[in-house]
Amino acid sequence: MKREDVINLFLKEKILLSPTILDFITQQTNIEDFIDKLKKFCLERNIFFIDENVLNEFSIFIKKDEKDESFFEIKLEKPEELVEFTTEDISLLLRKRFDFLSTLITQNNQLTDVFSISKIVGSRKTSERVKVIGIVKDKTTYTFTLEDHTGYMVVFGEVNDIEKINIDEVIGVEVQKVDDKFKLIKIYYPSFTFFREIKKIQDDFFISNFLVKVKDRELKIEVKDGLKLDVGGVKVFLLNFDFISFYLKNKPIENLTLLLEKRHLNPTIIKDKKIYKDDFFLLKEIPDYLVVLNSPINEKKIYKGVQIFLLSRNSMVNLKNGSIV
Amino acid sequence: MKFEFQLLDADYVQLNGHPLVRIFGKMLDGRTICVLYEGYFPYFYFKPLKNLDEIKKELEGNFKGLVRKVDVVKKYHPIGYRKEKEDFGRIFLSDPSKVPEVREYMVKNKLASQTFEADILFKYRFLSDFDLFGMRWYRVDGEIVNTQTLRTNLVVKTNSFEEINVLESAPFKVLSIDIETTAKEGKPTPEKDKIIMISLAFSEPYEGRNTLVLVSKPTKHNGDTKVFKDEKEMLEEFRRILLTYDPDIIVGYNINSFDLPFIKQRFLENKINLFIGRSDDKPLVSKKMENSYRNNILGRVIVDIYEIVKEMVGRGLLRLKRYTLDDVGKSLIGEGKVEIKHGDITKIWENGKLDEIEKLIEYSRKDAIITLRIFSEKKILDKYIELSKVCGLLLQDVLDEGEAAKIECLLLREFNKRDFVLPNKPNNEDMLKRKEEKEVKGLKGAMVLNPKLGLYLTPIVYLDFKSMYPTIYMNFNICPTTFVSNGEFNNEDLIVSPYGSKFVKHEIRKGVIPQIVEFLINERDKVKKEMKKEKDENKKAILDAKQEALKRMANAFYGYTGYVRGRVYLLEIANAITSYGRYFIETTRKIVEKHNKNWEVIYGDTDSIMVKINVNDLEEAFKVGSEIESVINSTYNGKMTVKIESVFKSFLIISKKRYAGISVEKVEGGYKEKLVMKGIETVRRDWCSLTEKVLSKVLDILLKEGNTQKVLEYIKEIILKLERNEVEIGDLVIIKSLTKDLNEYKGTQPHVEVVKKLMKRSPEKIPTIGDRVGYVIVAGPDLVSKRAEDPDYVVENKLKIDSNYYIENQILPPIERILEVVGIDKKSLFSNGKQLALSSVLKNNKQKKEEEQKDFYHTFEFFVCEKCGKTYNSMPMMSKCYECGGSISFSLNGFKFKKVVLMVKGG
Repeated sequence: MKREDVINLFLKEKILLSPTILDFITQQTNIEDFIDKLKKFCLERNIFFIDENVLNEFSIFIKKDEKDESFFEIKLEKPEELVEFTTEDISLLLRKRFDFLSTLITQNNQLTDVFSISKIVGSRKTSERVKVIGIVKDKTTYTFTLEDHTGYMVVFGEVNDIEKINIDEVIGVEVQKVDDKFKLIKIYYPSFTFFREIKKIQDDFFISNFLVKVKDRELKIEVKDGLKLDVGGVKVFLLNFDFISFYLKNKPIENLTLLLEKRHLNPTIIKDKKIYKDDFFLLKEIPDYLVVLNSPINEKKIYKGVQIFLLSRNSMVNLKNGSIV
Repeated sequence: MKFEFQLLDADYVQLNGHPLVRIFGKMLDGRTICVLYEGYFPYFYFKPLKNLDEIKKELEGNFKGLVRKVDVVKKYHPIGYRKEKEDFGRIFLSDPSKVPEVREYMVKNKLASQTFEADILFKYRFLSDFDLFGMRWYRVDGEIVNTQTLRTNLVVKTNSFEEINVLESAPFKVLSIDIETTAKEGKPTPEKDKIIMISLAFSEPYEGRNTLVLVSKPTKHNGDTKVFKDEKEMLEEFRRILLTYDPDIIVGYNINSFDLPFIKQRFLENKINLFIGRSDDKPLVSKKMENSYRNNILGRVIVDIYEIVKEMVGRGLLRLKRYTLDDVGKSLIGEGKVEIKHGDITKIWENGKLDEIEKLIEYSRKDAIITLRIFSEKKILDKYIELSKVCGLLLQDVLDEGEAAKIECLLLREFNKRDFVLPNKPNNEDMLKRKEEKEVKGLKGAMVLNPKLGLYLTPIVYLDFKSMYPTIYMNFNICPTTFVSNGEFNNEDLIVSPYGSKFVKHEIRKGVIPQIVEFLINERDKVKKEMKKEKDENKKAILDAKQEALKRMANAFYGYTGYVRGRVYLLEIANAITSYGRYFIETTRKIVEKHNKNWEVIYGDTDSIMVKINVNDLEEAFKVGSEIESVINSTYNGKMTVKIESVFKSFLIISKKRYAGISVEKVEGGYKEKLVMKGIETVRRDWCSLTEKVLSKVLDILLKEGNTQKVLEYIKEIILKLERNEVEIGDLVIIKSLTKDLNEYKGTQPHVEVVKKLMKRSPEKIPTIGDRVGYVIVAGPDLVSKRAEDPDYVVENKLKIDSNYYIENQILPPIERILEVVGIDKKSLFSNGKQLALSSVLKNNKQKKEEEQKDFYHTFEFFVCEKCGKTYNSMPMMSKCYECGGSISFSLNGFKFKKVVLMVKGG
């Protein structure tokens, strides 16, 4: 393209160019595209004279934009069920889950003096309060069983507290020995901190029960159980309401936040009688968005920086601004 | 006249209405001495609620002749920084035994709001005020006194003490004692049973003998045995020998909890005089504490080798599976007991032939000899003597009391020197408040960084913080006397810990504890330098014990500040210390990783960190280690110092506080390697020796070769051998002691079941209480406990071992964590990933093949124990039944199976 042509293209929009900028533009390989973008950039910002400073700003903008393009590279991760598994596979999965979550419980609650179960059960001391971390193995209305690497113990407590516990979850408890039994005093969850890097989706990003839509791209999805999306580093976790209704009962948002605190969205193995590879629903990282599809109601909440949405069948949510339509 | 002695013991007697202090010692020429001091009275401090004259009048009215003086002194309050000294009342009494009564009266009747130093034992009050330390050497100038009451070679009266510098100890006379008793009903009791023998071993010959056994009935004997017509006559002779031999130290094995209490009771039953110490007015004292006995013989020191061995095991200085004298003797000096079953002693004594009784006499003699040998050859007492010299406690109290007593003995002296008063020990109410506060605010522990689990085959640098907690005390001036709880100070005058607690800066007041700790550390450095120059091995050993004692005392302060029963207790101080500890570990990690991307902290615990450095060469590793040291030390600029503790050639981290590695030390011409283990070296009694062998071998292969495949093959080989009954029965024996009568055991236990079987089969072989019972688990349908069997019976009858039991309960559990960490799936131990009953893997059995086809289904209902049938809604994490330890299967419609295969479309 000739220099006069370049000048004229900009003059049409009443934009002047400095001589060095003109030289620079004429050397671009994809010159028409470059001119379009530069013009748009200037018009949006009411810039009518392009010098080196403007060009610098434009260069930064272009890089971000290019990056933004890749932001919308969406990576999907589906849960993979193991086709065959043994009792040992389940034990191994549970041990890995326990190892990972017990560390978080200790760290995030700053617990010290955590005892192993064998030490507590074998101890003759009474009325002493002790802390233990274990995986929940069984529960009744008033009791639950905890297991760790050294043994198991039965804990009794209030109905309301025990209702919140699910089998195969990893929790910490403070208990007090009362007449050879252990009374629940407090529960500790793996939890997560608010003080972490929280990423947000910068552009319109629509999710409905059947598809994900961003810019001009649409992705068909079918979420029977769960699905993880990585949207340029932003983590979105999708769940099917029916799949996790077992845990939600009649307080879905409240129980969803509890599942987040427990760092596992689907702990109970006997619920599905399936094993997911790498314990798919274990939250090694906290998602930035948690969207539950196929919900009977629409609702939203922000909890410790996580944006939670319940989305009914015919609705769609825009993750950029959180609006549900 | 001047006399020099080593201070062994102290007490007082009340004579003519006032106390007479008695200091017992040993001179260099072997003579014993008792030094008397008159004119010293007990006192304590208090905060008065009334006028002093009123207080004196009221006390004199209620405690006639007891109150000597009441005055006011200026002292610093010990808890919390206060700029000025305060008025404290001080009361002198004429009888130390009345101090508790007067102290309680004053508080109850509102004469005082609080008392201080009102529970210090009078002897320690004296020792502290005269700056006397246990086991140090002193010179006194005094006159010899004639007295019938004291049984020392010399009795001297003095009014001053001068410390002298002598490194070695006096030539102590040691007597080792061991008794044998009958046991009519299982465990011997002194009310019903008698002492049948007393064996004695002497450090210096007594009447030409090195050993002597006293026997309480006429029987065949040699020159080193004396027989008597009955127990009473024997005990009287024993007493006579004690007094004539006059030992400074009495040793025994479990002497505190068995021999001495038994002897005391038998003396009483036989109406024999219990005054066997160095005076006629204090008998043998034997008091039952919570879990043991405390004994005291005035002027002598009682050393229980059993208690010392247990402490050594607890501190990681010794590895032992059992604490019997036989095991300890073999382990420490290569000599064990004469073989006689404990339960046979009464039988032999009552019905045995002469040569059996003779063997029993030698059995008894050997016990005393082994104990004396352990005491002498292992120089058991050296470090306790040095501890006594450092902290000031008498040697007997160093052996019997805990760390807090040592610290408080030092605190009393140092606080008083600086005009601080020391608080009393807390009463029950104080304790409750402290415990509640601890519960509410919490005591945060030391930092343990989450380990990066796995096997590392490239060098790992292990760095240690030099005296971390003592350094924290010193550098940050942490002390109750510098603690600030109010807002009176400007920030520039304060040091604020990461926990938030504040202390005044050194310039305002240098804390008492920091000063003590600094002294201990500097002294230790001096002693270590002296050690390097010392050529004499004996003196070097003493200096080594001294520097160990100084180190132990310096490090003991940290534990003391969080001890709710301590006199000086502040939760804020304990939390401040640990908060600094956590801060330094975490900061050090950041410093290391920020400095070089190739450096990665893989573990940190309390005062050490381990760094992976991504080099392969050992020489390079040492250089990098030095570089890391410099980087960290230059950042801290003296506030904290690290040094390389070692370089590991290979390293395996299994979990927090559990790791193993090959540590490498530079020596002339190369490197010296050593296997180091932490948390996995514990020798468990309920493991058979095959377990220990497998564990050692697995670690050996991993650390030396890093070959996980070889580990896998080795374990498979062991499993196959077990399946084929090819393992030596001796390697499979599990040992447990029979600690009570059979009918006192609740539930079924393997060793109890074996004893019951032996009772039916071979009554002459029945073990009795105290004996160890060995058993193996044989195959069969019953519960595990019922399948416990006598090893000899198994061999004779060619019974088959339950290989599954040994694999699941003995071999795999200790190494499972190791296998997981290095990525060996337990599944891969059982051929080709098909996890079925082990036997089916090996058997080429058509029926089994058919069963295999039914060994999977497409779903399941719940989980079930294969052995006892207990059902579970959730798979036990450790794959074992909680009730019986059996293995777990899936269950569906009554079928049990190990695998689920999900239905695939079309097939």
